[in-house]
Formats: sequence, C-alpha cells, structure tokens
Amino acid sequence: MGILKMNTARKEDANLVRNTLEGDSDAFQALVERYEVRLFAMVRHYTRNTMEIEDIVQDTFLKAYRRLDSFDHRSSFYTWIYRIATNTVLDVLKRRGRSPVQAAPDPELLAEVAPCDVPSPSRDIEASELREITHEVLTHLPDIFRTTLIMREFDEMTYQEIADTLGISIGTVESRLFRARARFKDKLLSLYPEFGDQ
Amino acid sequence: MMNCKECLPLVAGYLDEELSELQAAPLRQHFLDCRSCRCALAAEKSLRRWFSFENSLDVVVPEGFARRVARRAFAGDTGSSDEIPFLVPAASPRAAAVEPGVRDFLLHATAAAAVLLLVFSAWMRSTQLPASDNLSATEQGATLEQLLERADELNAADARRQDAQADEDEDKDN
Repeated sequence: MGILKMNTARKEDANLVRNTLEGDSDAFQALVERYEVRLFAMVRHYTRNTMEIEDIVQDTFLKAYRRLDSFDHRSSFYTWIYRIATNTVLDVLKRRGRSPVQAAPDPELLAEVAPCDVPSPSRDIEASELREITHEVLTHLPDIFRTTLIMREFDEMTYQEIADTLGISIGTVESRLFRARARFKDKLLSLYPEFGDQ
Repeated sequence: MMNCKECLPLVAGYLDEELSELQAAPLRQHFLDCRSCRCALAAEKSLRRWFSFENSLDVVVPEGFARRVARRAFAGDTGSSDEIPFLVPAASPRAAAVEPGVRDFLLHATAAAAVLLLVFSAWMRSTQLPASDNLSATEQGATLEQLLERADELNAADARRQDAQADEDEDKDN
C-alpha cells in the first residue's frame, strides 16, 4: 500500500472514529465493514469453528467500541484493533483449554529447534489442501510463535508493526520468527513426512 | 566482504524486506558468490510458499454482521469474552437475533402501545379530577376552632342517635 493511500485510509479511519465517539452508529458500522474481512481471515488461523470465529470478531469490535476513546491515533486503527483481536482470540483459546501448549514452559527458553530443509508445496497440490495443511501445522505451534508467524506471513505486517502490536522489541520479533519458521518446518515434516521426500 | 556467518542470520530479514539497502547490497553480492548461502535462501523461499495462498479470498462474513455489531455496541453490549466468558453457548447471540422485518414490526408495535398507554393514562387522570377549579379542602371562611366545634356537634348528634337506638332496642326486648 502506498504512503498516500495509507494516509488517506488513516484519515478516513480517524473521521469514522471521531464520528463514532460523537454518537454516529453508521460511522462505527462503516469501521466494522472496513476491517471485518481481515479480522475474520486472521481469526480463522486460530480456530476453524465458524460460529466461534464470528463470536471472537464480534467481541473484538465490541471491545474496540468500548475503548474507542483510548485510541490515540499513534498507530493505525487496524494495528490497534488487530491487537485487541489477537488478545481476544488467545484469551478464548486459553480459557477453553484448546491450546496444546498451555502447560509447556516458555518456548523461547527451550532449546533451539534445528532447522531442516522443507521443499515448496508441490505444484499439483490444491490450494484448499495447502491451506488445510498449513493451518493444521500452525495449530501445533506455541501461541507466541503462531501469532508472530500469522502476523508476518498472512497479514504481511512489518517487524515494527508486529513489535508494536505485541509490545515486544524488534529483536524479539526476529528471534520469534526464526524459531517459529524452524518449528513450522519441523512440525510439517513430522506430520507430513511425504513432503520431505520430494 | 560478507562471510556466511554474517549472511545467514540476515536471510529471513532479506526475504521479509526488512533490511536497508546498506545491508541488502553486500548480501546480494554474497549470494552470487556463495552456493551454500544461495541454497539457504532457496530453502527459506520454499518455506514461504506454504503461506502463499490468498488468505482472505474465501472469507465469508455473515450478512448484516457490521450492522448487527454496531447496533449491539450502541445498545451497550460489551461482548462476552471479558465479563462473562463462556457461560453463554456460542450460538446464543445468533439465536437471540431477530430478523430485521420482524424486529422493525416489534419496534413499531411497542412504540404504538406506549403512545396508547400514555393517552389512556391522561384520559383516566382527567376523569378523576374535580370538575371545579376551587380545590380548597377547607370550607371558605371557617377557622380551625369553628371546624372542630362543628365536628364535636356532629359527634354528639351521632352519639345521641346511637343512645336513642339502644333505648328503643331495650324497650322492645322488655
């Protein structure tokens, strides 16, 4: 996205936020419409249950509305609401005991995973199959790695945006991405060893 | 001149376009010279293809989602995750949702009922009020003493009547 386009989007967001705070529900509806697809897509990386996805995205927007007066425009509205969405989805997974790594020690303190080469997905693999495999592997990653990887690979956030969203340093983002990718490769090959033979 | 030890930690940042040109230029040169680092670059690129599908292409947002969320927000709904995490089944928000046509009808019917109730209350009140404008609770010109005196007279008359009735009843019995 060009800088000019980005600035225009930010200005539009700022207007919608201001109008919402002044009691214009149409403005808030417009804000939801601007970001609903991206948030549905983002939350889908954490759960495949469509009703749960809708609930999480809805909660995200309701929380955003409640805290809208605390949005200070230093970051983009999307970065701000993305952070709320991330916290909401991780909170839901944690409270429902769905994360397979909740009881594990901090993955960043564990011994480094030896990266292994993983081939590109074969050309004849269906896009839907590719998506299913990738999602399945992602669900096996610890939350902090999955979150960082999703932000970078799917939402194409910069290291700085990831750092701002998660409240960590850029160095930590680099470190997490490195470990996340290594774990992704490792898990992919352990779940789908056939891809190691190509 | 960059060596492999300096090059490898930068490969991911290079593909993520996070390096400055000052960092990227010697890296590119090193890739040209070093087959081993070129392989590392290719492996890193291969990995990224697992994430290359278009993520938002087939996202289906339920119809009217934004309108529903905006209405809930302005109605004071704070969401379910914070306060009452999972006491409500996931399906309940949609189960409680009403079709827009039905909802509009209910809103209009409720408003009409409220207006009718208001008109009826006003009518009921008007029928119970005294017709006169003179709403004084005391007789005009009477002082408190005069009123008490009159009350005593009425009580005395009442007592005399009861005594007379009692005497009459006694005579009949005899």
